[in-house]
Amino acid sequence: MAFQPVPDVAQIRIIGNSDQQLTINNLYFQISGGGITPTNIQDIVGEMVTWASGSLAPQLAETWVLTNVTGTDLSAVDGAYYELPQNVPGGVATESSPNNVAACISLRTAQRGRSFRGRNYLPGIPNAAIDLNTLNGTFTSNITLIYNALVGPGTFLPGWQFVIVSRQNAGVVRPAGLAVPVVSCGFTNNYVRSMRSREIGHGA
Amino acid sequence: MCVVCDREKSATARKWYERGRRLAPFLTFPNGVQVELVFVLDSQIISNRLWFYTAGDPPTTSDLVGLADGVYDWYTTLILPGLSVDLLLATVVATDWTSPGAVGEVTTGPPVTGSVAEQSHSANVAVVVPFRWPNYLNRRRKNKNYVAGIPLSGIQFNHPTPETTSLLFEGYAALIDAARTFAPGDYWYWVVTSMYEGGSLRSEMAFGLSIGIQPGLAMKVGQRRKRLPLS
Repeated sequence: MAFQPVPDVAQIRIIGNSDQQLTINNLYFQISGGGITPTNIQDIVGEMVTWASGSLAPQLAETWVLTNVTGTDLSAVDGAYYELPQNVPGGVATESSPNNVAACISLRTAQRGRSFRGRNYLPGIPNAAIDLNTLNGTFTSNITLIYNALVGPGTFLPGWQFVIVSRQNAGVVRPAGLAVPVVSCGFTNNYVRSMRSREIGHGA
Repeated sequence: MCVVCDREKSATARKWYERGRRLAPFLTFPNGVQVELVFVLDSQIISNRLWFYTAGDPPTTSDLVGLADGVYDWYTTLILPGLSVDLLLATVVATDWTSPGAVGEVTTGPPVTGSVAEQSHSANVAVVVPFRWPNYLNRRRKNKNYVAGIPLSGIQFNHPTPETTSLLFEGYAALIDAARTFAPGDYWYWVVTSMYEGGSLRSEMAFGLSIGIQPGLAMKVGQRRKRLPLS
């Protein structure tokens, strides 16, 4: 796909490793008042490192390791880029479920339709947090709180707002990506979900 | 239109539609029988299929009963004791595959759970058991069972434990000889089947005698996303 600008939006990638398999979760933040600069993208990446290592990782099994957080300015093809390599293992010292097992948190906007929702598939779910197919309530409550800490204009970091990005409309690529503020995050149900590409032997 | 129920497709029924869309067409297998092990795991119905063939007279209903009972005994004796108590073997269904209107199908039971008093891995986690026929190495000559209900201790992170691997290897290897003992005796062969040749549906099911799992082949953890409850 050809480059598609998303004005004033930074893509944040939470990159990890689970049993030598790459895990990536994308989050998007829009800046208000002046556009993205090499300085302010460092700020948002730094805050996301704190969030991922201090809030998210402690909920996950120690076999998952946060390896990198990157920020990319999606406004222009030559936009700013910044990354902060990490080596932060998950905080739960019990066995993880296999790599293909994930917890899917839904990112909601104030608008309906598939163009206005996002999701993250979280890796490294401790077996202790799963009862057969069901994630336990403590785990889902904690993850929901952690993601909702990102929501709101300037709440997480002044000037930035957590958004989802829609790149297509009715199957047609938009001229520019559309950023829509996230208003809440949560689990639509408590069942585990699958990420086959994270299985051993698949993907990166 | 929905290819499963032949009704107008609801705009909100996408997931159900997707689940039924990939139903394979019926392909004749003279003297062939599909045996389906039907399980329930967390209220979801899941299954493993095996194929059998007789070189003798076409199977009768009593032959199918003998086969279903034999597979039931084999599974409950050699495989199920190593699986989680969360997994219920609900029934074993033997279906004559000679033609759509052939002898029919029989079921057997009673329902029985796994024997390991330990929680199962989630339903999208399975151990892949590949078995093959001997003449060729390509994918058409292999079938697989995705075995569900693996106890938590049966998988170490992303890999089946040696105990799980041994259980499944020995269990499936035993089916080669056990099939010959299924009633009426010296009648059934466990076979591997192939429906497609070069991407095209064959005119008739191709098959070869199963020689079980390749020795030394590391079993792996695979996944069956459709076994999870719908959202």
